[in-house]
Amino acid sequence: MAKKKIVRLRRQDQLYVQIPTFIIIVIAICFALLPTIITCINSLKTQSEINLSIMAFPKGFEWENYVTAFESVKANILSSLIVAVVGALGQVLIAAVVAYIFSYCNFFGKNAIFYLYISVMFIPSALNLPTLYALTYKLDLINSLWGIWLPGWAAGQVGSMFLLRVFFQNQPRTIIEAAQIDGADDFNLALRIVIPMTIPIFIYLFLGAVGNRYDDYLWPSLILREENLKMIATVMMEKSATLSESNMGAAYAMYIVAGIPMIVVSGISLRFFTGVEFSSALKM
Amino acid sequence: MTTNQKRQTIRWIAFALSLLVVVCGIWLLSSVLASDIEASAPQFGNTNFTGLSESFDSDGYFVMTADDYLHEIKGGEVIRSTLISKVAEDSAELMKVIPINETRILVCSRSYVYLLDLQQGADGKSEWKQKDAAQVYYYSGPALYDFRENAEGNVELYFALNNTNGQNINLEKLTVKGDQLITGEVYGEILKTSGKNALTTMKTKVKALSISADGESILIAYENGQIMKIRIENDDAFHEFLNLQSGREDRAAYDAYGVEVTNFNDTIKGADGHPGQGVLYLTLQNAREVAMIDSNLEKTTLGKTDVVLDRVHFSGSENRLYLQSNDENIMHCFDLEAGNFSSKVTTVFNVDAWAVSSGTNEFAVYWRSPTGAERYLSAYKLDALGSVGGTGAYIAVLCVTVIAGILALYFLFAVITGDKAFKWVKSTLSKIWKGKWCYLVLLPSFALLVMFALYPSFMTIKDAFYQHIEGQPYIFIGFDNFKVLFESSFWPEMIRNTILFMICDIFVGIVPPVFFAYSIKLMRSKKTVQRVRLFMYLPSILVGISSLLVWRYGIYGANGMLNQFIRSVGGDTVSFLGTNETAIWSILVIGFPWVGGFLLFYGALMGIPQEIYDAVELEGITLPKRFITIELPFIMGQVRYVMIGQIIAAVQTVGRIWGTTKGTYGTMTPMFKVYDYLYNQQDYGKASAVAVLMLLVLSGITYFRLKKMLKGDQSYG
Repeated sequence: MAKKKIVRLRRQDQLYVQIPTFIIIVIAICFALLPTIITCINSLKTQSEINLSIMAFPKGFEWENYVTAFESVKANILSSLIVAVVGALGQVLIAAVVAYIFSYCNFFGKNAIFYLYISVMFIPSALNLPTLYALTYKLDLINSLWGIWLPGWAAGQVGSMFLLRVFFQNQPRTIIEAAQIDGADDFNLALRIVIPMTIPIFIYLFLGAVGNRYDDYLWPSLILREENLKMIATVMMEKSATLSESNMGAAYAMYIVAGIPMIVVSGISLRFFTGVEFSSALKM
Repeated sequence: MTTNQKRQTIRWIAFALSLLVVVCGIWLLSSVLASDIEASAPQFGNTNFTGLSESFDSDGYFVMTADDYLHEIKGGEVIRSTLISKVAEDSAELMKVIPINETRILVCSRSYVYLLDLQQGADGKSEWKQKDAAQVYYYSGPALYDFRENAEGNVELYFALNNTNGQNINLEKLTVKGDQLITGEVYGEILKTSGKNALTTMKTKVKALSISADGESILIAYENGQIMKIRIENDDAFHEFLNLQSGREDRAAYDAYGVEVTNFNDTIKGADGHPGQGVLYLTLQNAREVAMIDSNLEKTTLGKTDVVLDRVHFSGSENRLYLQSNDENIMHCFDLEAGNFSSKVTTVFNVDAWAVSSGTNEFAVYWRSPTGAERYLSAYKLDALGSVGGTGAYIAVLCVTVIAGILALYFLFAVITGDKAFKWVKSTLSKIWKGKWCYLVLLPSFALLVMFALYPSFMTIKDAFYQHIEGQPYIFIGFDNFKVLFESSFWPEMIRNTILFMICDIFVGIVPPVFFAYSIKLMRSKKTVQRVRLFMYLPSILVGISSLLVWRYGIYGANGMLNQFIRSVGGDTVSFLGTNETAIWSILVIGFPWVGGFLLFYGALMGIPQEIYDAVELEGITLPKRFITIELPFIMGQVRYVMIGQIIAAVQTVGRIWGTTKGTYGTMTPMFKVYDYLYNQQDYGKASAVAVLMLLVLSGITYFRLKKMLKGDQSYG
């Protein structure tokens, strides 16, 4: 006869705890989803329907809104994507090179230079902003995408480099030493051994950087002033103001259309990376 | 002290001193960054500018300020300031000076024209004396006039003026005869914007006028691309031809009234006339071109550009056109004789008016902030068409200074200590040479770092004590920037808001996510966290600004969720983001329920070993007590991490303000003020002052982070 396992319910597993907790979670999620729900519902409404009631379901589906929205911001979405992707790519590549140098090479002044890099993380971004703007102005990088990329690489490389360096240092040295015994020089080492090991974290950093840069608003609104170059955050804000009276539904559709690249990026992160690793990786 | 300890001390001193050298080097070099304008514009303190015009011989210009003063400037210096005593009914600002000759000018406000003559005053100095004043009702724009000298030698001015009900525009003439201004000759309507006859309402604007050399016909350019040529003497034409504007192209009717029309079918963005020549210079929006139209209504394309040019200014003494677009900070200069774009110069954005000084190749601009509220005066020198030179060398010098400074002092100290000095130097040099490839690979990244991440911080600290405004001279002013800040009206609200954001952000960054994560963990099902993550993934369709805008319009807006609810229970619409009392609180609430950051805490909670629970469960402990004694200590690390991040973010709050109120209604924050100074006024000095104050506030936190980092706790990086 199989022994029946007697399990005494923990206090927390009892219903009088489980049910209220469940309700709390559901309510929290509902409120958290509120803006998203408002956006989705109202993107399919005409202005008069919106004026009538925000929370009501649309009567007819005004797909026109999506067409209007797409037409008006497609150039800006493209511009934002280019800026974000090139920016993120540059940042991660530069960071990888620097992290590799700091992990596997020894040279005079290595520590001093490393501390110089780290010191950037302790500077508040506000302190950089005025002079950075003056410098960009002076270098004639206004209305140029390089005005976004260059300062972005300079600042962003540090954070990514830091994480990559920790990652490199945590790699088992035995593989590297084995390769070196077999006669691999620095270049081969980098190419054949180190890089394949680090692809997952590259992707993670790359996606994170793209997510940060895509909807950047402060610096691009200072630098990019021409209509076609403007990034999506500035454009959405300006267009929402004009649309708020006339066709708010198109504005909501605009938010969705502009958010599609980001939901793809987040989706990839969700699928491949669970946040739990990140938390425990940070040795608190 | 042992040799090692001595060496360590020496190294630290060397590092500190080399840092000092670098800082001093940057200090000295940094003046290059400031506007090295050879031209300079006089400063008028806080007075707002209302007008800028060239003087007759174009070696100086006139500036009008809001206090009704007319200042005359030559060579960057104010040589004469005259108070214009306006007619009692004239409450408008002075807008323009029309110079008739070296000693006679007309000063125009929106509704009156004043005639002034330059005469010898009592003290032997020449001063402007007012001779006459005439009412010209609602002179509405700088290009909407033209003048010529008639057969008797009197100057005739033609103005496009709004008539008394402000709706339609008439063409009127004003004659300067001797010391008198003679008005009263109204030719008729050249634009009807509203009125009884709906058919005649033209939804457009008059952009410019040009009277032909013989004074017989006038060219009128409208924003919708239409150019009309009307014979001056033909009164009927002025009254009647507007009936033809309903869209019907009735050539016969036009001919009957002697009106000639041509249409560019493009928006005319900028226009200016060549006084008395019957020629108009225009910029067209879609065609992106600069064109000239003459008295025969013949258009000549002068040049093409890639940007839409919003403004044109014709400078007679130079025979040049100055063109600028709203979005660009580059002023283009078109040489009419040579027929090409001859030069350009980087200026500020939003230039409203120019005055050019011939001969010195210098010009003054008066420009407005993007919000349009303030105006500033700046002076520039024209460069030949080409690149902005010198900055490449500047970058190189900067990088070299940093590296050289560090190295130099290292060696200096080695030599001074005499500690087997030369051997040490030689071994160090060889060490450096061995690492040459590393340095080479590191160089691009290091150069970027120094130039865009390290150098700006130092320079900002320096700039806080200088007057550094685009287009103004770079001068040391000590604590003046800070004084302006402390005495300003937004200073108290900035402090209050920073404290509010700090308290609020610390709370919402920790309590709701922890609570939520704990709730998830309490659930029996192991799959809860995955389902929750799936649901919480959905809001990522809304990027940061979108979410903010949904709150702004969809929840707080006049037709937003809250207001619709309020109205449905009988209340009045509340302007959440538009009232001083509610604005900041509404912004603080944005983001409710703030559970997005739960994953970090959930991960920490899941790391608690099962045995502890088993042990505690046997003793029978209540849930709240269990939380305090078990879970809380385990997540303290994450709590501290989030708290530090939130404090740093809170002091630099700008996104929520930028996307909603832009600092109005009591929501100003320091970071937004920095942005405001940079975007609207290009005042790097004051922006730097605010940034330095923020640095001081954050210095405590920064020191704490630094200590933790050096101890080895790498997470605070």
